Amino acid sequence: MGLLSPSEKGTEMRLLTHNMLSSNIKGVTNGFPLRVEVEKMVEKQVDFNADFLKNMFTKIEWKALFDAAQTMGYTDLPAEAESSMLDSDEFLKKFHHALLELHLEEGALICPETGRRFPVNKGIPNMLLHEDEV
Amino acid sequence: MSSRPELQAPPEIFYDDTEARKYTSSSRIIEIQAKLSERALELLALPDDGVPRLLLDIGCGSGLSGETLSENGHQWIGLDISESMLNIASERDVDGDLLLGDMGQGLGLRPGVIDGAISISAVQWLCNADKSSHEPRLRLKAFFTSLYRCLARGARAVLQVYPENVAQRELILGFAMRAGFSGGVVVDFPHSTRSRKEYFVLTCGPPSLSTAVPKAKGEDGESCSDDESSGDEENQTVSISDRHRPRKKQKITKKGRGREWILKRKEHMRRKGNTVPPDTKYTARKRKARF
Repeated sequence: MGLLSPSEKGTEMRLLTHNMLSSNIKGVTNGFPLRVEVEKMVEKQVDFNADFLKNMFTKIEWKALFDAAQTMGYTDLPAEAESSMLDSDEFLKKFHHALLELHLEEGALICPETGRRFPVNKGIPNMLLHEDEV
Repeated sequence: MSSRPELQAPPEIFYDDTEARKYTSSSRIIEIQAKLSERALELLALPDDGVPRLLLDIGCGSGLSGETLSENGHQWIGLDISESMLNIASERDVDGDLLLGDMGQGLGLRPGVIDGAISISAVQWLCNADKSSHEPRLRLKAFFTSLYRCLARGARAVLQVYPENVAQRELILGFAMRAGFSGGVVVDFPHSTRSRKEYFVLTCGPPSLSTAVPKAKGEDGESCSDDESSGDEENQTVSISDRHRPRKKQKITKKGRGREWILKRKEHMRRKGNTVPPDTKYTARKRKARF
């Protein structure tokens, strides 16, 4: 799958955002991480910034990122990571690619506890809860 | 003067496709939004170290405010309740990720992951009870507790708001305090009806030197055509960091009988011929509960 140029229009959901999202449904004790269902994904080039990656590393839930990347078809990301690996340029590039360049355009995010589907259309996840879920 | 949009319809209905497109193509609105976003970002007081941060844009609409964040090198996630507005943001190919969601239902973000949050002209929409199940207080509570939770320690939220009145401002700030935020309100150009803008600058974590509320605009040469005041109260920065300070109650006793009622009663008693202590400045003053 070739990289699309940045001029391709439209936003998509990146795994950066997926790693921050939790299911907010009433009664759910652990709504993270949401399972990713891919119908259409694209790879998009994003500017590399090592500072940003190092800043984000401590916040990222690595297993969730790894699993989501696998689901999106990217298998080069190591299953486990620790901060010493941030010194490696090769690692940073893989981290960058998984976090920022894998974009979900159509699909769904699924609550791990209730199975409720949050559809993703045109790259925008619909996280609106129904009246009885609040 | 056009009426407030908040009084016309809920945001996801007011900002339909037509309105969304109108909003986003108005050069005046684009300019205003850019200014407000720049100011909000300034008030976020992120460290000046060139490191891009992960920010939240609450009520991001068509991405006008988010663009300012991107221009300053940051990554951001935008949340909005209007699908029409978000579609335009998507068309405009903004750099941030967009979420269709209702801030009054809680933000749904993991604890401590966000470096800063801005909101331009959005939070006052929480105060409307559009649907019968939408109790504003519950929504304000859900919003502020989830915002507090997802912010990293020491991170700030800067909310540019158009409160309808004093009561609404107090309501919003009250819920922010209860969620654990400290901070204050910065009012730029307070004496100009046209230019006046309010920013709630909220900090996540205990008050410290860094949570000192910044100086407002509207003094020291900042031009403001409507402003003719002497300069004494050019800026208003109201600190609300001490949430435990008891608020001064009005001079009304429990049953709602104020000073006037008591004076009337005393006069009545005097006419009847009773001995009544003279009226002084201490008459009807609120006593301590144990009194």
